[in-house]
Amino acid sequence: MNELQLINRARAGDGEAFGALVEQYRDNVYRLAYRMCGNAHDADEAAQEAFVAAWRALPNFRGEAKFSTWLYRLTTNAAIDLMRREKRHRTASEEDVPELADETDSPQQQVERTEQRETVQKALSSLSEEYREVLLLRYMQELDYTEIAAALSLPAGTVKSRLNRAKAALKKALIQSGNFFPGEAVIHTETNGKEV
Amino acid sequence: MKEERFEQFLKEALACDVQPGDDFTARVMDRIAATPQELPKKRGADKKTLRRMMTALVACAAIVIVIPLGMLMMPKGNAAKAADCAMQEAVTESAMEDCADMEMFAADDAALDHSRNEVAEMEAADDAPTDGGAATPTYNEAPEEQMDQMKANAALILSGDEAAVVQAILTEENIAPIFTDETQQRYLLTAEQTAQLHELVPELVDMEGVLELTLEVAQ
Repeated sequence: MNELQLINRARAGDGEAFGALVEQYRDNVYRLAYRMCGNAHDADEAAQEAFVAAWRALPNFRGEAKFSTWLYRLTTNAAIDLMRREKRHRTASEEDVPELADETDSPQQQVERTEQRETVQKALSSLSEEYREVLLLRYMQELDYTEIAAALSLPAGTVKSRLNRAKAALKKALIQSGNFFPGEAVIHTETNGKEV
Repeated sequence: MKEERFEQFLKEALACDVQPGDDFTARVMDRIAATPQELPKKRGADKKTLRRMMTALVACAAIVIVIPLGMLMMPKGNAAKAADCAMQEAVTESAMEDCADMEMFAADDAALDHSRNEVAEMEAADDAPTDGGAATPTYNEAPEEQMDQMKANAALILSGDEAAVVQAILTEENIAPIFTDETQQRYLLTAEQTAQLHELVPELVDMEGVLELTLEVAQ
């Protein structure tokens, strides 16, 4: 059964079809929520909320945007709501599940990559929700401007300018973190002083 | 750092390997089992559409009331010309409103019916100024020859030798007809083409805009 058939059946109340959609998108939704929230616990909750919201609203999903785009919008909304509601906007900490580095990397590369991601995650967490949302949709989910515009209900021009401002803010946050040197495009890890 | 390199760096840094727990789907499904779906909303006319419809109705009302009043207040000679221009504008605006509304209602039958009613109302309103205009003395008293000339500026029919001459000229000028059958050929001429032709065919009236010229020439 293809995605459209699954969506149509789920829209008609078929839980099994919706389960298949959850299986298909759970990783992407969870990872987006993780980047938005900055920790595994909140990411899990936001991702669940996003799927429940999708199930609830599916009968009114008109298919004007792609299902995935619509789902990502629900995910960022759920993450933003969660952070506002619980005032638990945390950065990655010891209790969070550590990100796994690519197993094909050497141990040293794995450490460096983990450091790099943590640095970016911290910088990302310091940005406003609007900036974080647009950066993640563009560079994590790799949506184009039109898709982001559809997902966020914004004009494409606004998306473009917001993305530019978000990138500038992220760059500034990375530089301020002290591990980022824009001229060389590198992140210095504190553990071994090597460049990534 | 160059923009592309920074973007590439972002993509790599934002790539994420984390995964939800094994029981994630099961937990979602448990919650879904206890969550009812929303009822499909009937997509009737929303506020924006209602505003458009109101604007269209107000515009129609204005046409019915303001144009006859305006013509009453105008000098007699200009009244017929002004009426014709105003009518053309009104018809164009109504048609544009119709198109916009039809697009908005395309997916909704109920709303489409509403739109159709609106079209009917607009058509009725479009008819109104003509009646209203005819009722005013200014409109009726426009000189008859002036009215005839205005019509002739929009379309002209030539026949016989005259038509044959004009046809030959148009063929020489590489101006193709827009319609041809056994008895006639129809051309759409720009003001420039009409002006050129006017030097050779005095019957053509100098005019602005597009002239529909019909030549009754047996093929």
